[in-house]
Amino acid sequence: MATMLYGQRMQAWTMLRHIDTSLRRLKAMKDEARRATLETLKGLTKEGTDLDTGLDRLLEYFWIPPVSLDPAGIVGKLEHLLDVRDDRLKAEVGSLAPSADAAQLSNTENLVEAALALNTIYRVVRHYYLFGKKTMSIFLIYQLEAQLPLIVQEAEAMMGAVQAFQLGQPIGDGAGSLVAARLMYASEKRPVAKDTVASDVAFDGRRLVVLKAEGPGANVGKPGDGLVKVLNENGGKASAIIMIDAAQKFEGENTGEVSEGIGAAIGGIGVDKFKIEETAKKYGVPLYAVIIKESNQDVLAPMKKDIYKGVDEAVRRVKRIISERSVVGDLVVVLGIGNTIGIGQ
Amino acid sequence: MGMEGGPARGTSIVAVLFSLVLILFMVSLVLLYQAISAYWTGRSEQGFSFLVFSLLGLALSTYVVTLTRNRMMMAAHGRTRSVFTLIECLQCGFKSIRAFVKGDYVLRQAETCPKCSKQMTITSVYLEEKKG
Repeated sequence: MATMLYGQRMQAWTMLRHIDTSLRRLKAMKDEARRATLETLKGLTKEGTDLDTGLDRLLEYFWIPPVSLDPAGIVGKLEHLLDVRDDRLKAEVGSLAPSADAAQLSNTENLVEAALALNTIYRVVRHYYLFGKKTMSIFLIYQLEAQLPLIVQEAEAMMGAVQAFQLGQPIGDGAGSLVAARLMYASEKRPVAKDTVASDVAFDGRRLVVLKAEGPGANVGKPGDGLVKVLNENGGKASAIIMIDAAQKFEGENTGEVSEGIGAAIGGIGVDKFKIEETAKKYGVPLYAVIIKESNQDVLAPMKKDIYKGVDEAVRRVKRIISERSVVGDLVVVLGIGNTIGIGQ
Repeated sequence: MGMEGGPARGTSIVAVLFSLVLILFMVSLVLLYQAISAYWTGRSEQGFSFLVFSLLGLALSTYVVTLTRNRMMMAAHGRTRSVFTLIECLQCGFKSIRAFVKGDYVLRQAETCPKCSKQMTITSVYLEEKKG
């Protein structure tokens, strides 16, 4: 009788208890990320700086995406806003850590971003938990409980990134960058765009221009701008653009497996992807993609051995594609995509 | 200071929980016996009540034991994560592995090779997870 009358309410209580347990875990992760960030900043700041207030202000930082009612020109607006956000965040972190060098500044900025993401996840989950508790709406509680395993998994991945950013260790996302770094190792590098370097490499009678974000600091660079510059300098006369990036694996696939395809292999909000596709179309250059498969957690955690095996395989595949898709004397552009923390060149 | 006595407190909570579950289990068995006796002596209504309560008690005690066991196993199967640095001599192929030190990064020049005295290079910084 009691089950019939109060069954739904009892179910809601059980689910709320599960959510409460996960929320406590999220809080512990958020607090740990804040503590790690504060500890890093303490080593780079000058005496008398109020780190707590400064960091708490940064942890509540937000950005408002541009209006998309009239989508023409939205990529430019997105890029502008993201640049402003990036510059502002870098300046704020720089003011809290004045003695940091360029690499330390990038790493600390990424650390703050990870702590900010964990703080946001916690706040959003807490909001829906409290709202569900207040209204006892079974549908709200159901939805939150259904999504929690994925949310917690994402937060755990972000915690892995906190350790990597704090210590400057390479992360799974840097697999594409590492392929480019292997190809350009010992060659002369030149800056081609913001936080992006390029190198001319001779391979099998071809001329390769290899691009990656500038390491070993935590940078993703601007591969789109870099490609535009390289192709413009060479009058668009390239026989192929090869992009290498880490990509999410399906359940059942192995970490570090490599696959080939066509298109722009790059994640993110889409600004660089748009530029790369536009430039490739403008000059009629084919776009080839090589991906190294990883799970969501691997992308942000320190790089695993299996991913290094994938990197070796990706280097072999890139060389094979160059040999098959170009002839002696051709120009091929190779873009290694991803966060280059802990990876030099 | 806040963590003092933490594990001991956890152990005592588990001990109390297991004692309660054990008592519940024993009571459920007694009720089951009573139910069977009641049926044999023709008191079927009373027997049915005993049976329902005994089954509920058995189900609840089994559920609690399974839940606690799963949680304890999950805690025991925690992973230790260590990060290592692989240093290679690109000249003679000599390899050495050590624990990661802050400042290490892939393709950084490292110490000289003990075999051929050429400068070695950090070729990977990798994560190793161990279960247990």
